Amino acid sequence: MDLLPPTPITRLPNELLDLIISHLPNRDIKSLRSTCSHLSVLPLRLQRVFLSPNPSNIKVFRRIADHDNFRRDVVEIIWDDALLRTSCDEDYDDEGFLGEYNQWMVRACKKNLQDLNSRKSNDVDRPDHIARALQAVAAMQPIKAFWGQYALLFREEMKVLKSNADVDALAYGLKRFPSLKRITITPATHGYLFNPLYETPMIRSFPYGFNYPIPYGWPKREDDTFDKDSDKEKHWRGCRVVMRLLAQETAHHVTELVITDHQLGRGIDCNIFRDPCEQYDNLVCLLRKPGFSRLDLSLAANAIDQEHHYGWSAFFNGSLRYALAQAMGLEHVSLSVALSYLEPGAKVGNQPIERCMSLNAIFPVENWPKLRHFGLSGFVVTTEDVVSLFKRLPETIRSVELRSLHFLGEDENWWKLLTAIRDELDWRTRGLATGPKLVICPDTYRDRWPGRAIWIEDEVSEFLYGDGPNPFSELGAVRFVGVERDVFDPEYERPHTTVSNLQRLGITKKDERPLCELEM
Amino acid sequence: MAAAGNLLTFVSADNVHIEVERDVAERSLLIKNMLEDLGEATEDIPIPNVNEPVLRKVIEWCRHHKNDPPASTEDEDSRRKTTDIDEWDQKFTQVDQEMLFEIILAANYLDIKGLLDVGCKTVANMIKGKSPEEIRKTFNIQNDFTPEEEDQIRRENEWAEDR
Repeated sequence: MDLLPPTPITRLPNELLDLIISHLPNRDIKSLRSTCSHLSVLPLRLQRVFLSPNPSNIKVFRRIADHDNFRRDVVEIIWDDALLRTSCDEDYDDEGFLGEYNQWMVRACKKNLQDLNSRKSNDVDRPDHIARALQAVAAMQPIKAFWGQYALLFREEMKVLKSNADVDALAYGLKRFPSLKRITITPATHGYLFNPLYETPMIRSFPYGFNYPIPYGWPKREDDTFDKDSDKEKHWRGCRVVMRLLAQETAHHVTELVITDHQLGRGIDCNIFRDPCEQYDNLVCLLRKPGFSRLDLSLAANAIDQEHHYGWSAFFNGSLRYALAQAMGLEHVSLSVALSYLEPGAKVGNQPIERCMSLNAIFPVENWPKLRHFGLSGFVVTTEDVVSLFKRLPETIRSVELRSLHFLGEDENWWKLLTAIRDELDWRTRGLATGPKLVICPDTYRDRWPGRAIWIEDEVSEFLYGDGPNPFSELGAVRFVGVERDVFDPEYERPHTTVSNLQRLGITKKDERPLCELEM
Repeated sequence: MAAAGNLLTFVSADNVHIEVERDVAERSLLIKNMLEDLGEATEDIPIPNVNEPVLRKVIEWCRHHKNDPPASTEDEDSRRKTTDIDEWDQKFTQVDQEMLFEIILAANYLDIKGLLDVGCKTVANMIKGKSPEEIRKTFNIQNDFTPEEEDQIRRENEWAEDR
């Protein structure tokens, strides 16, 4: 006989239980579901699912696709486009050969721990730091201990690459997820050690304290001899298969394609816009789809594209513009260019660049009457070009994001650009209620801490729409304004201010010693 | 002190008459809309789903929060980030579980968004960071799973991120 009275929490109607769990992360929802049958029906937050050539990711993806309830919640597929590394040089691909246990693994794992320490820097010991430090302690064992697991992961990946089981799963998912609207492809899923960007089933399956060579997808294109013709099949594999399937399968609901480097300074080869190729045709086919509403595209360019092919031919031959013009219903567009030989935000007056990437020649904004968001990153620009493009933006525009632009010309900088935007556009008369909100990310710490950057929003609005000062000095330097964010670590967020202010706010330590010395 | 014309009388489920100022009562959207439809309320207002002690607690909350600005619509992400509860509300919700859940049900019935939020956040905080066994103890929940069901839930849980 059951002597326990019905507990109040199980008497709550589902709508109130849903409200309670809306305040909780999945971790706690899982615990709650595990208490009794009545609460086990509470929904997990499963709006996004993951794919990559990894059996754990594929298995979970398929299970969700087969689940009658969960499959209906999925709105986004995230494709982890980073293949496991076979050497210390992450751009070096040894044709899928891992070999025996090797010192490169030791070097890569040591670097992980150094990066972990470097990213922690002089911050106070937050709970997330301590959690990572504990994992780092667990990781302090001979690297050989991780080799077996890594080699297994690698063999499994090779098997999937041969069978294309991940591509088959994607095709299945396109049919099985009725609410699916977005596919995101990123090279940055693994983030940095013990701090992934996404907790994919693959990453969740790693043993506690697992130290492995963190893979990043898409080559950096630092090698000027890199050419589309010598392009290896595995580079940008995720991008290729996703675009191919989206173009081939017509019965899906995907209207948003996000190809983003998450500020790693990478992208897909811009030369897909130089000569005819399958990837370009597939992209055009997708952009033509009625209702297609969002495109984020990270492109990788290099000196070769400027010098050997007559000045950014991939950006000027009309192919990129033609492709973009097909998406008549576009509401959100964001293009970034990674110029791997330029420091982000660096002036290019003394660089061998003679022309900017004319924005007006690239963006067919007249074709986008519904456009609400416009984002631009890493482009080589002039103030005149940016302002003249912004004059043509439709009135529907509500947000604009400018990140790490390279200004052509000695006297060009953020100060001048912002002043011109304020004085030459009608945004000020429209007011903040209908004028666009401009966010500027003048610079990133890409080389030292990928994913970290300064974001200026409120101060830009106060300057453009109110009486605030220009957040930049006349020489273009950013003042102590805005916030610093880390795309991999939400807890990092802090005001962009002086060292003493950060100490006063309790964000960094006065003592300069790091949390722990993570030497191996 | 409120003018006599501004006083309303609630009648709880257990038939107790409680006087309440109109501006306090109007924290409840149900009451506010009803009063707008009726114009002047001259008769007692029955609150059939809420008994006296709970109703008094609800009125206490409404009185403290009668000058709060209207609730803004937050997006899903910012909702999840904050389970912060202000100090007065924290003390207010230091009641036994039976009362806490009755308050939540009453806030839902009377459509008092702020109070509903405080109640739900309080329960969420009681769950946060606990293992299933600790949650069972906290809420006096009996584990009625069969091994097969338990296994099924464990497998489903593995599909989702922890965040």
